Amino acid sequence: MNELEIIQPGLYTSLQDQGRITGRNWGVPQGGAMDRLSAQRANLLLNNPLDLPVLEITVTGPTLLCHGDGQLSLAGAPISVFQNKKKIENRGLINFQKGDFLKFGNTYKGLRTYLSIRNGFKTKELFGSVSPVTGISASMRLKKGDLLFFESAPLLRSSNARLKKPLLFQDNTIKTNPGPEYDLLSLAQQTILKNIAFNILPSASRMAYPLFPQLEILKHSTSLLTSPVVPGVVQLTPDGQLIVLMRDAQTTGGYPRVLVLSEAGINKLGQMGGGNEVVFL
Amino acid sequence: MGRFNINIQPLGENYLLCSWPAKISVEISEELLAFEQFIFKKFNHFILASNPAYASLAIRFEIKNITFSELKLILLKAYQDFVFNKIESKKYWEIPVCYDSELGPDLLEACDRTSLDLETFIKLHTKPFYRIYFIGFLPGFLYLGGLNEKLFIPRKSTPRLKVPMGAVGIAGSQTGIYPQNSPGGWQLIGQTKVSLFHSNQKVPTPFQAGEHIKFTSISKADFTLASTLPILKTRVIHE
Repeated sequence: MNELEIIQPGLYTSLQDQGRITGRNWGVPQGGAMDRLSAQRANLLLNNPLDLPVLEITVTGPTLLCHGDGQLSLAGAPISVFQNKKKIENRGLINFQKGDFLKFGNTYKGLRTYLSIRNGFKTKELFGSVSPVTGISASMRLKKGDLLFFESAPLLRSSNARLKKPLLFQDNTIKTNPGPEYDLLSLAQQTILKNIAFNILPSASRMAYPLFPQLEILKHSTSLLTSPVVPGVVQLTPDGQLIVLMRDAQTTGGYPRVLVLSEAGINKLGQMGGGNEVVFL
Repeated sequence: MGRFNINIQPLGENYLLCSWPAKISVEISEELLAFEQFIFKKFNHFILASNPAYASLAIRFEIKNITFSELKLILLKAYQDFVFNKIESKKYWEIPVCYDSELGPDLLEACDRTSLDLETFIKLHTKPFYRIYFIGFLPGFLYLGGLNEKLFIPRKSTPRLKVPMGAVGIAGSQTGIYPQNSPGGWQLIGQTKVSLFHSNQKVPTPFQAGEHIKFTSISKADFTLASTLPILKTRVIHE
């Protein structure tokens, strides 16, 4: 087994797969790549099964020391890459050798880059997923000195695999469906939801994206019995604030679920962050 | 045939939400859990996951090329075919708690607010068998029902940034145990050494929805002594 060693972890780097299905009945969050499609595309480039663990890089990339030869792929938000201090052209696939330092810069045109390795990272699953979530995992992100294990694979001389179009979001619209409590809203409230541009607050995390502004017209006094929630649910607080639940969301919640994002919508929102604007369709 | 009007809606692209009349009721909870078991047996290969709450149930089906309205028909038919049989032989657990003003920093204030003396307060909290309605919110967090009305206290106006694992608290009509260190706004009245969640085990919690727990009061000395053990074991007191 070979390793990649985390020399600098970057802003928020974690191992993620497609999330867990089991565990909800014990209160275990689903977790998984914020932009699941890009994580799959990173695996696709290497001909890996699509649900293998990948590194999720957020805004500022890590520095890795390679303790073995291998090949990695990148998908999602574009990012600059330096191999042994030399900036390299990156079309999705990078070969590396034992002793190489790989430094990743900042993501652009999106928040999150996905890094996969040939045959996948080997790491421990908890309830069917490697994705760390609150309450079951010792730490939520990788830190300096952590080792990522992989099996050595022969270098490919060349590969034609590449992503034709980088996954960029061209606009700020997010497709949604009515949530279980959508019908409790007045017509005016329903109309407002789809006709206002909301800003993502800087406190947005892998658990939830709170939105701004809070609206007077969306204030309500509906109290709900605690009920199941899933990633993509848009909650409306009594103060008129919308909160989009993301991949690490809790399993149950007590606020009205007014909208639910499509899977594609969650992926797209996962590439946005604090300060970005969204419009629900 | 089920005894209520249930409502079936999509919850995202992967889940269906079955809703019973929105009430915290033993009758509804018992039927909901029995129905969950019924459909798991009936559609064994096609249900990947489910999680119940007080009066609703999220179900994840895995059937290729099926529409929401088709799934809804299947579930409604299943609810018609369903015959309610109370799930019997459920466990009753004992959870030792140290009611102490150091371990439960809101204990004395809670006594003041409820106009009860400490002894009566503890007596009322340790008396009921609390029903585990479901596990949710955080890994291992038990939603319990059955708190004595005299002990209802609103949650704190400002949540604490750190509540220790095992803290026992009250929030409105609810009482519960923090399964791990986390922020929280509940009024803290004591602490237990019982560990609610073991992420290294295949089945991480011994508790199941539909079972009952009872708190027993232990002394600070016993609590302190227990800290030298890995965990203080829960005990099934009735089965």
